Parts: sequence; C-alpha cells; structure tokens
Amino acid sequence: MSVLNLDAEGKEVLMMGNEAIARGALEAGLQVAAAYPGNPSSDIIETLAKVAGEMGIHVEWSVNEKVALEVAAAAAVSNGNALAAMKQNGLNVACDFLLNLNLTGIRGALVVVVADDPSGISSSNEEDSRIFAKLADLPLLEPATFNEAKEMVRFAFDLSRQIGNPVMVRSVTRISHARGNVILGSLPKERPTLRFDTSIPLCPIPTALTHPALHRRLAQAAEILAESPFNRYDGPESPELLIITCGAGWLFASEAVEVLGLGSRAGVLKVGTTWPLPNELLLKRLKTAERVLFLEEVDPVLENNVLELFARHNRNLPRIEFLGKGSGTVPPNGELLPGLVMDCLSKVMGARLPEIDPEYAARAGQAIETYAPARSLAFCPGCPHRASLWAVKQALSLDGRDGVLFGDIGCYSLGIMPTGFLQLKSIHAMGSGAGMACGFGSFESLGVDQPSLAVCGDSTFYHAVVPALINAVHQRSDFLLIVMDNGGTAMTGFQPHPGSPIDAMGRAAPQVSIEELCKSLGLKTFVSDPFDLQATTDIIYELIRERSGPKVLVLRQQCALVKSKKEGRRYRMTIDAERCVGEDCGCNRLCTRIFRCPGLNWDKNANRSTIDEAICVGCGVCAELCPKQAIVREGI
Amino acid sequence: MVDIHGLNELNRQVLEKGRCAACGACVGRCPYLVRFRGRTVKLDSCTLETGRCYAYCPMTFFDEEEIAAQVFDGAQGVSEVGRTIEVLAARSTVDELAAVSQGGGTVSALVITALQEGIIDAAIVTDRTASDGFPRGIVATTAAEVAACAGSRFMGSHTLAALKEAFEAGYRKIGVVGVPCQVRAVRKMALYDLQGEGFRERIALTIGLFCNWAFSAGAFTEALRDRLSGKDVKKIDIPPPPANRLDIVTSEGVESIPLDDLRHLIQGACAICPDMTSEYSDVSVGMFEGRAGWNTVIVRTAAGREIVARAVASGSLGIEPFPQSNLDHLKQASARKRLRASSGGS
Repeated sequence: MSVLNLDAEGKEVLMMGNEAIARGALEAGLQVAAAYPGNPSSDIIETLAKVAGEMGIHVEWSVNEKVALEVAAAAAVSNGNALAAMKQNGLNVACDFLLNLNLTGIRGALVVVVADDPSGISSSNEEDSRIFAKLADLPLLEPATFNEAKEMVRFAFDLSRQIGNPVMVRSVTRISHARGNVILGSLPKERPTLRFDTSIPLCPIPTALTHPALHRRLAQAAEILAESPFNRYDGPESPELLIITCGAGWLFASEAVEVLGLGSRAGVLKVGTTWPLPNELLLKRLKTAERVLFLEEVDPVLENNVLELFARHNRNLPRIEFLGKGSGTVPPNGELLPGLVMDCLSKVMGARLPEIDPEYAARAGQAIETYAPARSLAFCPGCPHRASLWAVKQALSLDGRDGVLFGDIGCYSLGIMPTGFLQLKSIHAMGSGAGMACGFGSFESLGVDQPSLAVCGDSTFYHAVVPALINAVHQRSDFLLIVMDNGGTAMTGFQPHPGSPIDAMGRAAPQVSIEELCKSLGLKTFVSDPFDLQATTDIIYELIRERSGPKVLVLRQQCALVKSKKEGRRYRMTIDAERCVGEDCGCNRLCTRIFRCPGLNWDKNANRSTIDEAICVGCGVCAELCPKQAIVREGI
Repeated sequence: MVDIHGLNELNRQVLEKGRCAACGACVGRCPYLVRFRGRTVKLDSCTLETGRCYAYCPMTFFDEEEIAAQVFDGAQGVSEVGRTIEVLAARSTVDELAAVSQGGGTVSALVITALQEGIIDAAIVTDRTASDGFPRGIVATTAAEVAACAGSRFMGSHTLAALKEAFEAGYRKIGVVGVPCQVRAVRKMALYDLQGEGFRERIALTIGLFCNWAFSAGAFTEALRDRLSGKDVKKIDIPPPPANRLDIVTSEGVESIPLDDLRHLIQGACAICPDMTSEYSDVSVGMFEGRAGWNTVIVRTAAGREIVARAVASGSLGIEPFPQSNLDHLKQASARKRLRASSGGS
C-alpha cells in the first residue's frame, strides 16, 4: 500500500508537496481527479492514479486542461468531490470554462490546484495565476508548508461544498516539488453519491442575476475564512517591521528572521487565505505597524490587495511605509530564495548577514564545479528530436527560401537553442506553432514566399493542434505540420495521452491515431523515421516545395529514455581515430560542434572525437553524418 | 601574396552575392557545402579561418601571374585569347562523335585519345543528367563513357565535385574537361593544394571549353520544365549570332526560345568572369563560328600540344589552319567578355 492511502491517522510521514495535495484530496473524499501534465503540478494526478483502483476513484490524464476542468466539474455539479490540477499555463487554457462555471456554481465540491512555476524553471512563461481567483471571484488558498498543503486541500473541499463554487489552491515549485513532514488524517469511509439534478440547469445567463450571486458566494467564503487557522501571526505585538507573506515566502521569511536574530524586532504575518483577504486580521496588524514588507512569489498580488485594503481604511490606520515589489525592495519577479530574502531583510533592518565560513564556501564552490558542469540545455543522447530537427535544418537550407519553423511547448522547444540547431523560430503556448504556421501559410497573396512549418509533439497535437489543422484545411493554408511523435508526454514524465495504449490508471485504452485523424480531415499525411536522416530530409524538402495546402508529417521514434530502458542499445558506437579528421578542413568537428549529441565528446588534445560510452544510447544517427565515416556503428 | 579565408568569407563574398559559378570545386569536400539541384548550398557554419572552399573557388580571387608562372613556360604568345602556342581548326574524324557533339567532336576525340594512349587514366567530364535531373561531373574511363557526355550543357554543372571521387578511387593521371571557371579552380587547387592532395601531379591534362556565360542550373531547369511539360530533352543548342535563340531538341522536334527571355537565368558569376577561352587550360576548344562541324582549338601548353598531336596521329582528329579573320573575331569576342567583367558585368 502506498503512503498516499495509508489508513493511519496521526502518523507523520515524509511527503512531496504534490503528494500531500493528493493525500488531502483523498482525506476529503475525492472521487474524480483530472489534469493535463504540466510541471510543477504533474505528480498530483500521477500519485492519485497509482491508488485510483484501490480507492475506487476516477483519475484521468485529460487531453488538455480545459477538458480536465470540465471532467472534474461534471462530478462537482453532480454532488461529487472533484479535483483538477494544472500549472499556470494550464489555467489559461481552462479559464474560459472556469469563468463561466463560477457563475453557474457547482453542486458538490471542486478544488482547482494550480502549481505556479516562479522563475519559469520548467515552463515557457512566468505567470501569477492568483490573479485568476480575483478575476473569477473564487476563494484562493496558498499553502506554506507540506502539511498545510494537505490540510488546505482537505479544507478546500469543505469550503467549496459550503459556498457552492470552486476553490483555488495555489502551490509553487518549492511546495509542490520539495518534501516535508505530513501528519496523516483519516480517510473517509463514505463518499457522496454522484447524480446530476436535471431539474435545475446550469446557466450563467442572465449575468444580472448570476454575477451578484457569485459575489454573495465569495462574501460567504470571506466570512468562513475570517477566523481561518491558515492565517497566523508570529512576533512582537508592535514590531518594527511587519512581514506579510504567503506560500513558500513564509518559509524563507521565518528562516531569515531567525538567522538574522530579528525575532524581537520583526513579526511575520502568514496569510494562507489570500483571496478573499482576512480583512480583520490584516487591519489589526496594520494598526500597530510602521513598516510593512511583502514577501511573495511572482507578482505583488497579496501586496496590492493589502494596499487596496489599507487605502479603504486609511482613516483608521497609521502612516505606514510599504516595502515590497512596488517599492523595488523585492525583485519584481522570479522565485524567492532563502539567500534573496535574507539579503532583503538585512538591508531593510540594517542587520548583519551571518558570515560564511571561507572553508565551507571553497568546498561548496568546488562541489559545484565538480558535480554541475557548465553546459547549455540539450536534448538527451539519442533524442529523436535532434535527428528530426537536423532533417528540418537540412531541408530548409537546401530549399533556401528562409522557411520558418513555428514551435510550441515540449521537449522540442529546445530546438530554439544550439542543441536543436536553432531551428525553432517561435515558442508560445501549446499548439500555437501550428496556429501561427497556419496563418503564415495563408499569406502568399501578401507576398510571403517563406515556407511555413510548424512542429508539435504527439501530446501537444491532441492538446491544442487539431483546431489549427481544421482551420488550415478550411483556409487552404499552405504549411507543413511536423508531429514529433515520441510515444508519450515525455517532458513531464511519460504520462499517457490519447494515442497511448493505456490510460492514467493503467487500463487498456483505445488509441487515437494521429495520422488517421489528419487523413480524416483531408490532410495529406506522411510518416517517417527521423533516424533515417536522408529519407526524412527528402520528404520535408519535397513537402515544403509543393504548394498544395496543409500537410502533416509524423516523425515517429520513441523517446530515447524509454527506448534505451526497454530495448537497450541498437548499436555499439566507436570512433575510428584514423579516419577522424577532427578540426581540419573537411570536417571542422561536425559531430561535436554542430550535431552536439552529448554522447559525443571532443578530445582536444588528440584532435579527435570520442564516444561517451556511459551515456551513448546507441541510436546510430551520428554515424550517418560523419563525412569521413569515422563514426562506426556495429549492430548489437 | 593572397589571403586565403574560410567558409564564412566564401559565403559572404560569393554565395550570398550570387557569384557562385557552380564549378563544383568546393562541394562535397566537407559537410557544409553541397551540390543540390543545380545549386551550391551552405548547410552549416564552419569556424576555420582557412579552407579549401575559399582557396579553390574561382570567384574569390585569382592571381593570374602566379597561376601563369605555374602553367606556362614562356614559349607562349600573349593575346586577347590568352597565352597560345597555336590556334587550329579541328574536328573529330569519328562519325559517332560528330553526331552527338556540339561542334566538331574535338573534345571527345582528345579525351578518348588521352585515355587510350595512357596520358590520363580517368577523365572528369560532365554528364547530361544525374538522377536528380541536373548535369554533374563523372569520372569516365572508357571511350563510351566519354562519348555519352558529349555536347554542351549551357548551365553550371558542379563538374569538379567528381574530382574528389577520382582522387578517392586512386587515379593518378586525371584529365579534366571544364569551362573557364573550372579550369581556373583546377589551377588554384594545384597551386595552393592546402592538404597536400597532389593536385599538381595527379591532374595530367586540362581541356578548357570556350564559355561566354551559363545558365543557373536550378532556375534554368525549372524554366525548361515549365515550358516543355514533360518532353524529353535530347540536346540543347545556341546557334551562333545573330540567331539569339536557344534551340531545344526534344523527341517531338525543335523548340526555340528567344535568348532574351532567358537572360535573367544566367549565373551572376558569368557577368564578372573575364575568361571566355579557358585561358589557363592545356588546350582550349570552342565552336568554329561559321563552319559547322568544326571546332576552334587553342593549344596553350606542351601537354596540350602533345594530346592534339597524338589525336591527329591516331587518326581520330583532323586539323586545319585557323583563318586569321576568324581569329580576329574570336579575339574581339574574348576582349568583350573581359571588358564586361571589368565593368562589373553591366
């Protein structure tokens, strides 16, 4: 049995934040959970999927976040307990539905967990999803610890059911992906019966009625949250500095106060219910404040909301100096890190930073150099995307018309970097490459003569590309969509998608074929193996020469990480040092300078390439490239 | 002394400016320059500051004095058609060659003689069409292979790419048939030979062709394809002035296109090329304007003189004196091309 559904109330266990969120949902009587993978949120559904059978719940990887939220909402409007999880970009995809669902309300419980990625560590963008809570008039909770993540999620179900509307829980990378102690609660024996009450339809119209009703539900939430234990103040009654913080910021702030020895001078107000604000608690603390410092991740959401509250009540409040993102005291974006918060606090309070033992600093520096080599982001050794983008590069160079490859989100986004030969020329949202290429391919009459291409992954294809293809057919756009099908949602951890033979819960599932779907739309559809560089280059070249409407090329080759585990190496690779000409005219290090697979190393002293046998997965592609046939592949 | 740069400069000075002559000297030597459907394509960057691509390209630089010192021995007279030992009228006496040749079949006769007499062990000649539908260089070792390549192409053919094949195949005495830019490239290879490949020793004979200009193979082939809609091209001819037209012989007859309709398809390189008669060859061959079935032959070196003599001796070539009035005319034409080049091609 997994620790996730361990029936041991009161037991303290180590859990990742995302596991704690999943556990909280199970303790609340979760029945339906749905998501589209996206870090830092992916483990929530992954964890739940593992226990779904035992727990008798429905867990799915949906085709995209909007559908995931709709699936979860279907349960939540039918008296069920449901959860939808997503990253910040996912909420953008789902928000059209969310901003109608809030008006109709629900008849059960729905918790929308959004895991933000401050600093965009595993994202294309940086975005503060909390603004959506205000936009949608929905309650927002922000856990600051791992145990609180569990507790808050469990509570969020109760709150949602009480007010009849979804509740948002915002996590961040350092909560979702870090681990800490969690005290298990009880798992419910009974769960509500799912049934849709057909006597009352769900309709956001007329808004003259539904919008005020929404505001009433938010006011009801404010009442419930006023005394919430998730909001807490630690510190002197009249501190020199009042730190108002939430989420991971609370951890960093508490640590900094302790390390800098500011316990008697600074107080920390942790706000767990960041929307609607706990007004009374905040006003009480502001009354005795002279200086306030806001510490929160990404945008000044809490900061601005508190400033708005201050403005509304300023007659009864002292003059306060507000420090935060608005004053430039705290960086305007990005993650808060312990060092950053400590620096910030030491400046504000004139407190000395603790000295670092020089010996420790030297050892740390050395460790970083030894264990974290400086190198740019790169595709894994043997990654089929490298081969695919090589073929694209060759075809576009041979074509010579400066073709444009529009891209989007996936491992292949790295194609905008040298590892993908700088081939991607745009990265925006899921599926946006196809949409933009569809547009660019429609502008021949405006004098555009650059070939239009788009690339997407298999999972992205299902997620958001299909409407662009339908548009392309109807608009007679002339572009080539390249689907790099590596057999799963690789970037987020190989979650299945509609083309997979199994679903999230490991059950056999019908597969939706990319090429059959494309053909059914009337698209000329082709399939090639990217490891056959010549054939793939040739077909891409031919397809972009041909001005005959939208075309789809599926480049199918399993992700190297999966393939090497499942099948082992296909070839044993060696370098014939006699043949390798290295940097000389005739090669100039094609394999290590341009192709740049990490499995190939450059031996500067010998002026020869070498194979890194520890990481080479034996795909054999580099052997095809070497102009001197110095890279030798031998079948295993 | 000249500065020899690398691919970056080649790209900047030649490829990006549309001055590639499609001679084939640079392609296939490295992974970064390839011949593709009649064009020279740069696939990636190269960081080398000195490269064979730049060194051997006829369009980067050409040190006439240095090359001349290498090729000629001082026995030549100098005129508008370059350094010459003698100018002749010639034609092949082999009937099969006359039928397929552009002029008198002299080039084929010379190459076949050179192969048969062991003066060369392989010849680089231009094949009509490769599998991709564009002309290309091949390594010919038999009379039949040479004869199959007779006739002009009138377009850049990357012929010299085949030199690499001939070297790799181990031929020691290679003959090259090429237009002026190609002859110039071969001479640069022999002079600079950056990697000691032995060009000087292994290229035994260069037979130059007269050339006023050539079409860009990619654009020209595309234009022909559009006009001929699938008809098989047997031969292409540009009759002497004042015809001012291109004749295409297909299985269904002859189709004529006014040259003025095609001039925009001429390679940019040709406008700045000063060399009409392949002035640095061992022997140059061109049309004999006004005398169908005959060629003009300019003998420039001892090697050139020898191959002509052997061809005559073996009975495969007939020669006659070249009339002075025709030579004057040829000199004028040659001077005109030089003038055109020096004025930037306008």
